[in-house]
Amino acid sequence: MADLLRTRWDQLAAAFVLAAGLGLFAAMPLWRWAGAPPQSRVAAIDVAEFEQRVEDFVAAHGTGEVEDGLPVVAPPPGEVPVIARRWQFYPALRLEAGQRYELHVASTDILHGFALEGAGADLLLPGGSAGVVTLVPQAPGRLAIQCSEYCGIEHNRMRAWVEVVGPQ
Amino acid sequence: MRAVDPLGQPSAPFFGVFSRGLVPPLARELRGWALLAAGSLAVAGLLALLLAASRTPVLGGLLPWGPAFFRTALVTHVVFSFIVWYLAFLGALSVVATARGGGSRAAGLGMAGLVLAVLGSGLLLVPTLAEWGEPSLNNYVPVLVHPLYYLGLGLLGLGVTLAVLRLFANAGGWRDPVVAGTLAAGACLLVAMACFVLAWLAIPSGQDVSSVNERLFWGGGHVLQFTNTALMLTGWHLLAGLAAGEAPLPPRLFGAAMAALVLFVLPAPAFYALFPVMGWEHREAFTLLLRYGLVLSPVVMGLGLVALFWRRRAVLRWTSVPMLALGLSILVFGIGGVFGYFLGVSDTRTPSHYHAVIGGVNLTFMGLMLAFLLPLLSRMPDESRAVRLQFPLYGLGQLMFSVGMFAAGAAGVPRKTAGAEQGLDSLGKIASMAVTGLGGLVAVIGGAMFVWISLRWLLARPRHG
Repeated sequence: MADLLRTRWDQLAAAFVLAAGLGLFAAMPLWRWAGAPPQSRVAAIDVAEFEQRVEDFVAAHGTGEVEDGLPVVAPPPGEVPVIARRWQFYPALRLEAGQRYELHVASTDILHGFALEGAGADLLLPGGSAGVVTLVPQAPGRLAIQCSEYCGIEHNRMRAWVEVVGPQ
Repeated sequence: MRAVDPLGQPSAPFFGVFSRGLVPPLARELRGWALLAAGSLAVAGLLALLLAASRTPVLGGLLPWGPAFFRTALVTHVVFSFIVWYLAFLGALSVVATARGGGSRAAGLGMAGLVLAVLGSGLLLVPTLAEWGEPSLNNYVPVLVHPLYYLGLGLLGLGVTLAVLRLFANAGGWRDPVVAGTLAAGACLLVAMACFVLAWLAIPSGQDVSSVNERLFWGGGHVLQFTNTALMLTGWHLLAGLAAGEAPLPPRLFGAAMAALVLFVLPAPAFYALFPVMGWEHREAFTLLLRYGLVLSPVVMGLGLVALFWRRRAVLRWTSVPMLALGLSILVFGIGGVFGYFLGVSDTRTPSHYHAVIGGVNLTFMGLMLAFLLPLLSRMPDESRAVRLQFPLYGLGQLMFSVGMFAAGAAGVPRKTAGAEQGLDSLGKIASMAVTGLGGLVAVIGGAMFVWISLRWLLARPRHG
């Protein structure tokens, strides 16, 4: 009787574990379908044209300051072009809390990732393509940007900060 | 002090077939895989010493390598301590499971697999020591971008695949947990190999070499973690048997836990047809496999172990080698698993997670080597103080290392940086990294003791009678 109980319990427990496994397995696509933030669309760009656009943007909105060798820009709300390239995000951003910005991020060389803290964004950008991340910084402080796709030996140093300042 | 002996009491009923010992060809194969496993950690340790020396002001100048050797040595250190060491254990357990099934088909595949794996591992050292090829620190399987390095990895993978195929040819008794666990690990390995090949075929030309390596090893690298988990759970089963004389789970339930692991990796090759290999969905699909697939089986096994410990609490010897290895493995792996759900994008919480789960798996394999494989080969280290001390040193050191890194990461310390780049601007960050450093040192001492003890016994004459 004890053996029978043990065998029956073993069968029931095994069936339960298999069912739980199948449930978790089904949860993967369901999670993707129902709740996960989708990858923003990325589109091909003309690299030279985008680089020129960024330089014009830096000339128009640069503060004259330099951080980690990068010019700092303090743009008004709206579109902000950013270049992702080995191994930097260009230029350095100073944004205002409570304002709405559309970061147009383009990779101008190889496959990079653009993970931005506070925006729940993680773009994957093939070389020569751009994607858009909407950011409304909530409070003064710093938001981390990190390349989320291995892109070479200095990949882990491909990080930057968005400096968020209070209303001017 | 009582020797740890799976062939004697109280574990003989639990181990059944092993009381007859291994036939000589299988014993030779098992010793070969065990030597490759212990040797891989020895090589990894020596490379760690060399890369540390290469960054030491005076000592670095005396070495025959240039300043770039740091990253070259780092790549091969990771490959030996994370890939060769684990795959060699799969090879070893495939021999054990083959013996358990009692089969003798395709015997040549087993030895051929071992020879190829040893050859491939040796080949990895050539570009390393000659400083050939650019180091690529991509995820899972970092490489030196040189044909010999890829050839070495390929031979290693092929060798372990042959050992697994031999096991499949002889697989009898699915209800035997050792056979079921090793078959599950082997099935996951075959899927991982398929993923590597599919990635190689699918990656479009014209990509940067760093992106090629990342996507080449991304899918298969994820699937290999299922292999490692199946091996660890099989190890937990064996260590529990040695420590308590009883299996933690009934056979069908253990089989179901293994099947639940295999279930998740089976669709992995289809991802290469469903999602572009360089795309975002491809990356996410494999991440989800780990997040959803690696939880259930360790939890079921963990609950079974807790119940077993409770039932046998009166007779358990907590300071025995199998019990130390098992208890510390569950603790370190469990904490690492929980850390995995609190990762940041790029701070030291990510390495805190994987160092703890890897440490947990390592503790199981170390316990298996000293308390199971060596006695199976008629080499039985006494439970000396050094043998027992090795486990708390490695386990608690690894735990300190991981907890320190997690605290530092939560405070904002970025990963894979050193010196001023770490931005240690608060007492909390400095204290966390100090705990990390001290834990690392203690773990290295424990790891070195393991390598010394296991190699000494593997190279010694067997004891008979």
